[in-house]
Amino acid sequence: MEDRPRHLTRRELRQEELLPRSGDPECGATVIFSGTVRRANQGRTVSSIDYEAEERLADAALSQIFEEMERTAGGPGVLIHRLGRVPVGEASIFISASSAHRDQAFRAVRDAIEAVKVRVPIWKKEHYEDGSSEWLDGKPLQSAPQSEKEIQT
Amino acid sequence: MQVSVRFYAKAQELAGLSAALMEVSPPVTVADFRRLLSERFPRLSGMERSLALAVVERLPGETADPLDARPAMVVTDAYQFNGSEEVLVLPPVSGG
Repeated sequence: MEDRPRHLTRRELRQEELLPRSGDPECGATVIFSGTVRRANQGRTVSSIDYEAEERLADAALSQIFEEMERTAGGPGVLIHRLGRVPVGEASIFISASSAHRDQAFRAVRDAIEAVKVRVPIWKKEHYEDGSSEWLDGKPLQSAPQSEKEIQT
Repeated sequence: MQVSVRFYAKAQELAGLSAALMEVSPPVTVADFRRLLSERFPRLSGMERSLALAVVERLPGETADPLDARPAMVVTDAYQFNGSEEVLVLPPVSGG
């Protein structure tokens, strides 16, 4: 197997994973983002969320977003999305990016989470405390911006 | 020709099954395929325009179904189905 970061997991995310694997002496800022399952959503009380993916496509899309993020940041990053049942309060996604200066790192992480929300075939099914459940409506799947594709070819 | 179709998440719930065989007559565009899905599975019609489709190419003589070990590719509106693919039906996404 090629040695590259894994971006999908079915296990609980641990906080220490948020920090880059190796410190980069050229980086003066690391921004970390953790997306967690929230109890209240649209007036309903959530108990957990099931995350389902088309894993081949999701892994490819996350890899591309990860590469874009590291390019924007200029330093090492972390991007990992959890699948399966995630209880309220636990993390579904970890993102971090390191840069020479903080502006790049903030922008890289912000761009990455916004891209994850529209470019990765992952779906949320919310489970509520009343025992019901529902797939969220979501956004139509988008492909990578053309400029990014051109950069990569 | 018969095309294998796999549904995900809410599309699976609305179609009422996880996989199906669909009879289609080439040439079939992505827009045609979305329309055929709505005709066969009327509960999908509300999200017809927001469905993304991906394909998994089948090698000549390959009969395994589903084709889990093969790469999948999201197709754009210009794509035409050749009948050898497995089609993945992807509803609007909500990762993060």
